[in-house]
Amino acid sequence: MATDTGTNRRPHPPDSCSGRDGALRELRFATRGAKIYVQYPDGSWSGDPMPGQLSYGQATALDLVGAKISAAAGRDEGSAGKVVTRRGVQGSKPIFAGTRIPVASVQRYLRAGFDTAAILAEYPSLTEADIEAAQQFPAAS
Amino acid sequence: MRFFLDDDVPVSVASMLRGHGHVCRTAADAGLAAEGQNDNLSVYAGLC
Repeated sequence: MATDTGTNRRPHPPDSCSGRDGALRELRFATRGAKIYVQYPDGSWSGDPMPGQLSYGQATALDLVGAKISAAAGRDEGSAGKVVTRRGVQGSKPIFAGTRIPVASVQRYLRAGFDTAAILAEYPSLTEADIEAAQQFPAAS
Repeated sequence: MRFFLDDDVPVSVASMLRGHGHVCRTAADAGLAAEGQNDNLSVYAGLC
């Protein structure tokens, strides 16, 4: 799929992706054929499309995308399902390997009746193996 | 208001705060989720 890179537009539309003030939290875009058009915060579009010709438009929540990317990039696969303690991390309480998430946090969700999918939605860096580990692990609090 | 959220704060909390116009950075954003020590997070939070 090609991205439209026509003339007379800003060089880096999503230049506020840094996460600081004014950060871009949602990307609005539309597709026409094999091209993608990005909508700027002022409502204008990249490229020179006729607005009525845009065949499909939607918004994607960049927070969720970012969380998934961070989760995929920040944790090594072998750590899934392992519980460790590390000095200087969360008061040396049991945490999931490769994260700073205490096992007790997930156990509280389990006791409150949340299912695995709901917990993974709240903690994208965890895996099903971690949830199983939390179920097997002695209750921490 | 600006928040720096540790790795154990659920995603929905960050979304809610952002929805109310607050600025949120997370330990994952800072690359401190996997190996970050408490002290590292404190220093980072002081800088942001």
